[in-house]
Amino acid sequence: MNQENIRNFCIIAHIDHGKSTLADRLLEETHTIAQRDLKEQILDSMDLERERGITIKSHAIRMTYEADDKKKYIFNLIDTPGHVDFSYEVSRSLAACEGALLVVDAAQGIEAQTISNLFLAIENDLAIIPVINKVDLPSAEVDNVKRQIVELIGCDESEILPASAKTGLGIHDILERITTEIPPPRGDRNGKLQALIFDSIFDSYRGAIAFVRIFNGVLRKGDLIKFMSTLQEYSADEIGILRLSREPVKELQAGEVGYLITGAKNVRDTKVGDTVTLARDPAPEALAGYKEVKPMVFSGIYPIVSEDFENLRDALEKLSLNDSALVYVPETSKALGFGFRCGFLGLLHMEIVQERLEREYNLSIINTVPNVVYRVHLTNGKVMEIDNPADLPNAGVISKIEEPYIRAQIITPPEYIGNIMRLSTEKRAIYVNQAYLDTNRADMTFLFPLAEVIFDFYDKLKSYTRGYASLDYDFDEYRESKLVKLDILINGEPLDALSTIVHNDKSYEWGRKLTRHLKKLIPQQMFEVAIQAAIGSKIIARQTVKALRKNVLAKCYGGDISRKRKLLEKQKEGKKRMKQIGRVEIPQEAFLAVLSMDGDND
Amino acid sequence: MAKNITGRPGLYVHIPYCDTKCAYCDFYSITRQDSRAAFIPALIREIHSYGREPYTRNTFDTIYFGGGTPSLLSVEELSRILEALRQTFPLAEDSEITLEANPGTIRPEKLKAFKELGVNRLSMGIQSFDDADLKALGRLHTARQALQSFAEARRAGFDNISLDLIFALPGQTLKRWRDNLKTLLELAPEHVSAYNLIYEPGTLFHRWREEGKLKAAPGTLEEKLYVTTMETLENAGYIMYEVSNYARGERYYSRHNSKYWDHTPYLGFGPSAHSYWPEERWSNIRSARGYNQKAHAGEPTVSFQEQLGTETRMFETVMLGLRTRRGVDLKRFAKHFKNDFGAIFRPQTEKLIREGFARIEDNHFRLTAKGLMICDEIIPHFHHD
Repeated sequence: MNQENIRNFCIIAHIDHGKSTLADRLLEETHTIAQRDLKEQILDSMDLERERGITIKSHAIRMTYEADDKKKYIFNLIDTPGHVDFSYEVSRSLAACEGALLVVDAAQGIEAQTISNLFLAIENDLAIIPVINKVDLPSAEVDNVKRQIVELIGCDESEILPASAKTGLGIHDILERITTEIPPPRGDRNGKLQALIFDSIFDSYRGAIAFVRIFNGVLRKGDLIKFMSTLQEYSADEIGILRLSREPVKELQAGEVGYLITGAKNVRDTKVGDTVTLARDPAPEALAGYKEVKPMVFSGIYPIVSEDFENLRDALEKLSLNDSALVYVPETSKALGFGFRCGFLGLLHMEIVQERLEREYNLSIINTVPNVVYRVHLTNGKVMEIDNPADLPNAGVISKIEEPYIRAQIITPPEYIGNIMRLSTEKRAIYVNQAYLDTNRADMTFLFPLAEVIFDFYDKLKSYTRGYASLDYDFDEYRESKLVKLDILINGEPLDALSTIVHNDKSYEWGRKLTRHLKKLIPQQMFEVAIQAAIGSKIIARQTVKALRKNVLAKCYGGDISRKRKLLEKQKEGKKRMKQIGRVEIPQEAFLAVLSMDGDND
Repeated sequence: MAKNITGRPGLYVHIPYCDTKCAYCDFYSITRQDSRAAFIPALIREIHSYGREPYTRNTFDTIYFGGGTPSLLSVEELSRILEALRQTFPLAEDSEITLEANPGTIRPEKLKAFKELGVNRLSMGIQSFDDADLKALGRLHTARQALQSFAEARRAGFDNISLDLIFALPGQTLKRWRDNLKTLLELAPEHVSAYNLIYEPGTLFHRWREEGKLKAAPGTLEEKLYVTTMETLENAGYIMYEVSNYARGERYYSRHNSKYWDHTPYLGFGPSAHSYWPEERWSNIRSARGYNQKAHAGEPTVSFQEQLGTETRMFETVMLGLRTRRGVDLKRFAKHFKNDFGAIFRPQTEKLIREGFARIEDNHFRLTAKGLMICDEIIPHFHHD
């Protein structure tokens, strides 16, 4: 196929703005699928993704389109993950394209996430085709949204396509515009092979499958290839294009999009952003933009029953086959026994992993309070990276602690600006600037400590703005903060899993709140339970759960033993799930006390 | 072994009829009498259906008429039921035959007649000697009637009487409960059951509490009431032989109820009646009409049945044993489970003993008074994994 007739593009849209439905329509209109398949949204193939209505891992699909000019085109639609945790993956997907459909919901208008992805696309020099979707909604504000788009990308209003993925309105126009507006790829098929891995997945039969965009040269089946970041060499056992399923081909040329199966067993070998070249005739340099993805958020994951430790290890191993961003190392907690410290790209990524462990692997787990990676400068000049509060050295040997900050963009109706300013103060943010997208939307930028964002930030933002604000963020830099480690002691024994690193100014309030909250979560038991918060050896807060003095009820009469027994058996199951700390039984919820604490002001 | 704990099987008969439904009661009881004519023949039919091996191989030594209000039975009805039982099962000469009686439902002549039929123990549902309490509970009798009925029972020759009282009633003060106990001691019954009120789902009390129409006693008061009961009765010479049961000497332990607590077999007849015969538990349907129909059609009246596995039986042994003063019989435990209680539950027992919640005495693992008070907290710890 002539490069001139290839169009590689993606869709930029906020969650719920209709990306998947629009993709389905394009597939239908190009006869890639005869009619709507049973599965609602083809591109999201994981159950979890479907439930959450977001695309977590990107895929690509190839369509053939005969345009009004009677020419046949190949369209490669490259899907992009839709969450801020995966912004690096998004950037690589965008890098594989020459153009993007900017899809904005006619009723909702532009959201923060759309803007940041749009800017990424513009940085990558992509041609942008603006589309207003859901124009058939009664609540559509087409003119308003048009103005927002014009403001943002400086196009002419007439260039914006009205569409409804639901009714099919505008779909044909979109396809035509793809052929006219998006430039064809401009690779050199005679050049040395450079193929960008924009995604990779693990398949239990085939191992790692890399999704690639060929920039230069030709990739042939059987070629000995090399991954330029790891320098590992493999044979291209199978290459192919992506329709509804994988279709093997003999070669992929510059400009094309397809998949590559080598002997690589793990997605860690086929890293997103890496460049594939020929081992015997390598390109002089890799494509730009590759970076090692580093986890930003860490949390301990422990099996509730210690016998599940090996099962948990197996499950994490399997998950990480398909998720190169997930890292885990064994760790031991005095309170929780053997488990793993896991690193995630962000909170959503963490929740997905936790949920998959429970759902797909049937494991009951306790996950500890998430934390960020602190950079600790010691008095001897050394610098440590701490991903577990329990590992923080003594205050005496620390000269300073730095914590990661993110640059956050919040888009909000102006009436909530005051609330957002309040939230930013609560969360120790540094205000950067504010601009208006139009009269209805303010675009605010802050620097937030990431640690503050991983505690109930989304929920708060939602409630402060009645759900109207949207957020996007990116890592900014490490900054020095006055941080201390706050320990929780149960009857004098430190509960390592509940140690947190908090800002000094907040530590007393934090300690009071946390102990008070724990008091509610720890049931009365045979003994008095003292819950203390401490910084170093200094106790800053204390609560007491009084010993249970009476818990006995009658009812073993009339011979109905079964009922009483079942009642107590239920409690027995509950007791089994509790963690024994000294002689105190701690329910699982207590280990997440920090997360459920906020808003707890009595 | 205490004097009145025999190891022989027992018989239970459930009489579901009541004049009124008490607001706290969740036993199966009905006030409509239209099923009653068919009930006695159905009951007798069910009793006869057990006239076979292995049941008839044993000598039974208790009969317990519970309800409902069994004292509403006519002399003739009771006589027919007893006759059916005696025809069907070998009964010990000295069997304990208990009948639950509500004050005000039983005239002196009837008392005498019941006594002559062989009833030798009365369990009287006094609940309180305070008219305000009685009204709140929805009881039909007054405190005066309670005293009178007790006196009449004594006159009729009942020398083994148990009185039921309930504490932690809505609005009940410590003083009011103390007065109750004082009256109780003046009557000097052989046996006392003092129950902590439970708001059982399905009862009016439960609903009223949910609706905020009445307020449950605070936990601290419940605790005081419980301790007061224990202390007052023990000081007066009663033995607390189970969490809610007191007797003026071992021979007044409820021989029948004790069977429930140590896996002695028992057969129950009538709607909702429960049975245990090693290693099976079953119970009848909770409907008098349904029960009558099934019994008359010769169909099983059982609606629930379970086989006790070793683990379940073990947990029951602990659960029931720890509620009694005797505790878990370690010799019997080892013999039955071919394993030592101490070996299976070492961490739990050591901790409880160390902290003064339990002790081992006379080859029994038993809770102390402090432990008994929180036995519902302690029992669920006896899981082994």
